[in-house]
Amino acid sequence: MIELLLSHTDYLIRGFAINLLISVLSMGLGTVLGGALGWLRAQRVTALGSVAHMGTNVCRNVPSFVLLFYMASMIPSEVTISGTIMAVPLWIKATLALTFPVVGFTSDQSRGYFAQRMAGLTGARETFVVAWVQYFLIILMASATASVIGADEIVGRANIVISQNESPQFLLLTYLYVSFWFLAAGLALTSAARLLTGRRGVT
Amino acid sequence: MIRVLALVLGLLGQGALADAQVPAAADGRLAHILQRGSLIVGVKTDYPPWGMLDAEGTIIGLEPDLAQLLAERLGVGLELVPVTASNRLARLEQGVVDVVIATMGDTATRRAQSGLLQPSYYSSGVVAYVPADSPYQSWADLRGQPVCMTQGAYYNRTLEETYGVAGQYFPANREAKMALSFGRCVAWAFDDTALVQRVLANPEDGYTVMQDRILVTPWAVAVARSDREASLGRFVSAMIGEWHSAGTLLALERKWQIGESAYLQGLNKVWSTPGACLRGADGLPPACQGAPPFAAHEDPRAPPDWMTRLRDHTGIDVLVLHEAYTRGRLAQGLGMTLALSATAILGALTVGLLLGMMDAALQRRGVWGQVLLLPQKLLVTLARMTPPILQMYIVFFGLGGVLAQSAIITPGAFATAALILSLYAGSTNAVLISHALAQERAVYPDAGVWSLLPHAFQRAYDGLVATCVNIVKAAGMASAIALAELVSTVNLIVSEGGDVATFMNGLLVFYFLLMLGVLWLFRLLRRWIVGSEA
Repeated sequence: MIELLLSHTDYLIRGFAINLLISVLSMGLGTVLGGALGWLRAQRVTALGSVAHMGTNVCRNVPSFVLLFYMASMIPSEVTISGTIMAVPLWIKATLALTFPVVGFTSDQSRGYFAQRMAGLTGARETFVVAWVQYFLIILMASATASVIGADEIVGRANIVISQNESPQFLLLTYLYVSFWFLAAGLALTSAARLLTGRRGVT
Repeated sequence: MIRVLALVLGLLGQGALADAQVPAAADGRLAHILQRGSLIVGVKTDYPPWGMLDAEGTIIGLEPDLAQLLAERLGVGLELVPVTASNRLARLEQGVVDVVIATMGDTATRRAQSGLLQPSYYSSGVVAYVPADSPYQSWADLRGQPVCMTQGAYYNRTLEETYGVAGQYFPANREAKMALSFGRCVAWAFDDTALVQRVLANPEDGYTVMQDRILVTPWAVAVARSDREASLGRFVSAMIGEWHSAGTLLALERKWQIGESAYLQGLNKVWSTPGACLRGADGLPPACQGAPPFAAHEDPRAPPDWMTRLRDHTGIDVLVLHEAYTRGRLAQGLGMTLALSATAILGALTVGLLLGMMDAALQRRGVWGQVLLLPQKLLVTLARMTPPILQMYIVFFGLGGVLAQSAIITPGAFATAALILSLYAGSTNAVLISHALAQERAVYPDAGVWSLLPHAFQRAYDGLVATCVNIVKAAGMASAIALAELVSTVNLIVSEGGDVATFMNGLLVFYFLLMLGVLWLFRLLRRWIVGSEA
């Protein structure tokens, strides 16, 4: 049973790479957009600030799980670019869905960051980095839901592996193995963050 | 000479027993195909043996063979393009493919969208996939029983309404099959074509399909809507008739080891009777077409006036809601989402409070306290660093499977989802509460844990609210383990013909308002706590 699982390791890890890709892209895109919104909110210009506030509210309050289905059904599965038909892969739709909560989060965090900077407070960057890494963890966990719209990632792949062997023990073993990868990535991420902020504290 | 022959045959009416001829004066798409010198056919690649990839990656199967026969008769080359259930009709109308032969069921809805041709060339029905020793061997046995289904299949609703099964909807085939393996339902209802092949491919698995095949739906070859009555449509229709009369389809079933089907044997008999299948002014005689198309669910009553006006003026299309069945489902889904959210919020606060207080009480007990806290620390780390959807699968399928084998009552989808969400959010709450308690203790070193709690609760309030809002957001995940909550209900309604834009936007707006509502309730709660203390 364990040999069977290990023989699928390569396949599963490639799936996990897609989870990481989805998470990194949505964190990147969401941070840029959310940072812009947060900066607008930290300025004293009220008109733009309230628009940014509204946008943040929408991003913060709409569940990414619902957005997954929204993107899956509302974005066309194929687009025509200069005459050739290009398929829109499901992982891109999942990335877009997960970008929304990141925008809401970064907007809130960066508003605090800009406000602290303006007030001349120190330690704003550390606060931001620590919260950002914690959120990265949440988004990484959420990337596992991409399988419900059929995106190819580790949980979907695990279900394919499980369908080849029907014992409940094998199912538990496979899921625990997949959990291990998430756990390892999560621990690596938090300890990297601790190292980063710790070192900066020393210098 | 050929021109004259074609003209004569044309006058006699196409079809009959004569071979299908390439029309001399081809119009529309067919003229384009002949000029291009190749026929482009959309086929499946994931439906063995109807359409699949061989070891070299070449598309082979029964349907590619039919495409080859069309190209040979036209005297042109053949290009096969993989299509899926969701894009095959769009590819036709876009003009990317000329013809689609892709396991497509002939339904009234699709007839309105594309040029579906008669006669049908194959058929599928619905069967139940059950363990070989299952006591459920007919649809009558399955009445009232939990039956796994794949979301989006067009016959799911009929199975519930007419055959009385309790549908458990899963996002994909593999989850539906897993749910059956791990005792979450007694049967999996799906296309007989796919399930019979699954049984044949895995004889050692111990599963079988029941003989009782229902809701037989013909499969249709399709061309673009404008070509249905043009020379391409007429040519392909005549070819299908020829395949029936000459026994070509039966021969292909034998070639691909599917075994001759009664449906094709029947059509072969009708088509080989001389003069029986002549195309008249209103098409082929019914007996020559095969089974009738799958009818759409249509309520005889017209939708209320305001619904039609709303759609015409705003584009908001809620016409499907005039059916009591759909309305009832939506209300049920809504109730389920609210019940799950409320249960999970209470669960998360309880778990957070218990674990947080345990942490605060044991922190002062030295080494033994630390040892006793280890399981709690482990739980918090595991709950936070394992995706909740994976936790649900583990408990629902894994634990459920083990418990089912030991004949203990297994937790249902609702209990599983409520438990996982409570633990996931509860572990975050526990950290917040134990921090707050530690801060309170720094102010009042001698006070007991209980007396510190109200102030600690207020201190941790914002964090607790954020976690609880997150649970409500995550509650939709329970649809992955077949809980009929709002997200899965909306998906179901859309797959049964509800307007995608209206329902998806409506779902987003609903969740937005729900979050505001939850925040408002928490604000009331705080005012109540602060007020009662004053």
